[in-house]
Amino acid sequence: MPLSTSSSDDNRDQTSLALRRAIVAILSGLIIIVALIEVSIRGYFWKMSVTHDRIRLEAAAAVQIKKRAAGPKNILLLGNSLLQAAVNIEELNRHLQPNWRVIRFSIDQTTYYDWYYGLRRLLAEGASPDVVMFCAEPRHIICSSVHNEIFAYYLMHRKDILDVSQKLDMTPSQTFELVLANTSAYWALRKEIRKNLLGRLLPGLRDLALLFAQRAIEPTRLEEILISSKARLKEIKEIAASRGSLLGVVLPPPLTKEHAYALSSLGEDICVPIIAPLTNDNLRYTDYERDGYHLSAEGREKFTRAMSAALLDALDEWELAFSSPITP
Amino acid sequence: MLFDTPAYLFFLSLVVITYWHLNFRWQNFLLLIASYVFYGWWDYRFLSLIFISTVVDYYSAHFISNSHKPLRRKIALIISLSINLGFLSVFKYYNFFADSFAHFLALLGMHVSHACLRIILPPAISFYTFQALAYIVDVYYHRLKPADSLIDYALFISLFPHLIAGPIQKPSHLLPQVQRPRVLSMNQLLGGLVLIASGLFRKCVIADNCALLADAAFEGKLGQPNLAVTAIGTYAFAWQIYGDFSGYSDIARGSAQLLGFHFPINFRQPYFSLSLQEFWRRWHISLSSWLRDYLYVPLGGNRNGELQTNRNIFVTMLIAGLWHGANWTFVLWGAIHGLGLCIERIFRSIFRFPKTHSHKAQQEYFFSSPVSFLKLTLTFHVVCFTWVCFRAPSINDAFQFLKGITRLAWMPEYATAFLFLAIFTAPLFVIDLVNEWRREEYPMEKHNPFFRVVVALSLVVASLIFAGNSTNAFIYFQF
Repeated sequence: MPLSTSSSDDNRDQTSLALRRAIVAILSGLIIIVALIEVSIRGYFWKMSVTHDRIRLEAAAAVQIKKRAAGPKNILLLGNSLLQAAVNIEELNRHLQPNWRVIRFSIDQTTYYDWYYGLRRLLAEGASPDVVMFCAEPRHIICSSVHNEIFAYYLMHRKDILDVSQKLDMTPSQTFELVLANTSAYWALRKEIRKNLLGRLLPGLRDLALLFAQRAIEPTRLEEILISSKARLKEIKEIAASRGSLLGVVLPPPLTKEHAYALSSLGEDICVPIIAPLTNDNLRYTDYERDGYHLSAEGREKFTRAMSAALLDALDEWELAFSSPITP
Repeated sequence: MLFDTPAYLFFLSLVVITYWHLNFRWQNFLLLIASYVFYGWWDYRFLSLIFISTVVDYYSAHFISNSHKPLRRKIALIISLSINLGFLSVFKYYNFFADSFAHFLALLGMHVSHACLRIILPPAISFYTFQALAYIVDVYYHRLKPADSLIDYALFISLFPHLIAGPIQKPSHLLPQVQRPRVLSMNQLLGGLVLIASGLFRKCVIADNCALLADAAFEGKLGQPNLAVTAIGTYAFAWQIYGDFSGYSDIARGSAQLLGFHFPINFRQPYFSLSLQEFWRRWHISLSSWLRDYLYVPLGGNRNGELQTNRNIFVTMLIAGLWHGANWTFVLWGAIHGLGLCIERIFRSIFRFPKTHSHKAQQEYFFSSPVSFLKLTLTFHVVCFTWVCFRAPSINDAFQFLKGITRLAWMPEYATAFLFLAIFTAPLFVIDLVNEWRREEYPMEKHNPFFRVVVALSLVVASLIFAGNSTNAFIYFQF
């Protein structure tokens, strides 16, 4: 395609006019397409995706939690896929009633910073639980990343964008994408949309994706876990306390006895109850899914039972320690 | 700023809109600033490096051009080449050579501790260094007059569409475009946008989805290497690297087109090649042209008999391998291609096969003959298996992966993986088939504008819906 040379002014005028018209037309077309996609996602994606419908409903329920003078007290239970796999919420609530009610808000692949900012946003939007329980295995407490687009859309408050960017040492491009994901449902959920559509095209995709998701569990030094956890749990405790909520931590499997004991002791030091209902010694291979990481239905039943007992003890101790029922 | 991110599309739109409101001189100035902003977005620490390299080459070229004394000209050439290659050697190859040398001494029983510097690789250094070398050599051989303006020369080196990962531009092609006013017709605008849409589709849909399979296979997530895993990983990576790099090239060409620049085509359906020689005329054309003009020909080319020609080919391909990365896997990749090209030459001379095919003959040959189909299949598989060296972290890993061909194992997930691979390679195969048939420089350039816009928008919508993991950077950005 030949390029022509020309005298600058006349050609520049012609080019400018044609260019302006063409760009307006093309940009308009693109904006219409993007707007249509955005509206469709906001209106219909929840109907296509069971997972995101659940997240949307749990997010809405979490924001609605308020302290009440009468009736059961609220526990907001935050976590990732380990929480979903390990805890049967209906069963847990049966064990804890009538004094306590657990509301779960869980999103896959989230770790400490997802919930650090997630809790800030929830409290800023009006949530005020009596107790916040953070369910995470030790490596997730010391992990320094976020679940990118999903985090930006569901968990991050817009005013925290620069803080997130600095804290997690993000590049300008990553920060820009967080802003987009915080604003646009399409941008936040496009990977989920793709997974959903592909899952319908390829029924076996879920099993294949489970293989993709495997990762070697790298051992982390206990000392490193204790140092980082101490600082971070104090931070998140302050956030909870700003709305008069108490903070506790639940450690799901996989969990060694050594880590469970060390973290429970740390919890006593910083006045954050850390409960470890079950460790690796209490579980068999049939208690785990094929990935050897998430609990199976069998394991979930065991863990839920153990957790309800441990949680009740912890809540009773809290009440004793403060010499009065837990109040704001 | 990756090409497939909203940040880049926003940046490009801003630059293009502002650009066409300025006169020629201010356009160049704007582009230079934009290019440095683009480069600094990657890593601002290396802005000084590209600037120093630019200034040194600009003044060296003028000195070479203005000097009439051969010795002084040669010294200036050597200084410029040394500085460019010196930067490249230190930043890209220091640790590689130091580690390799220490390892070699250890094999001889001598253990030495060497300073292993934590040297960060500046983005784009391989590309802009090659571009600068071509410029200075062309000026030396009087093939090109040096740029009058430092701004023009700096823009020639750093023009953002091609700065990070090429295509490497011939100085005689790009520099004159920088030095004269540009115009943009509606046809060029549409052509540019279609290229960008095509590039996004190749990268986001084809490459990023194939990457999921390739990564899973090479990282052992599909199990120990066996025939199925090796096939999945090899084919997936072959299409990943092709979709990735051709997608990047299309976006680069399209972006340049929107600014009134013409970049030549960089990929011509390389997987339809019937020989390795043809593959290197279709794959990364700007690099293979550069290697031919500035390495192979100066080494003697094919002027000094068969033995020396084969030597020159082999050395050129070794350097090509090393250029791609500081690892023995890339050297091995280059060596296999070099050896393959030499073997083809020998066979051709023994059996008196025709050397090149004209365009028309190629079309008939490819589609009609079973022998040509076999050649295509053989060439494709040789290329695919050499890509294993590209992807594997070490030569041993590459061999272990390829050894999987001898093991048979199966699980139901492999069927899904093959189907996934088929879904995400078929569209690119069809696009290539159409392009091979039509042989247009710009996709659909002979169709009416409405059709082109519809196709471009369809590609954009497909990219919006089926884009894979956006954290996969373009593979060639690491070179």
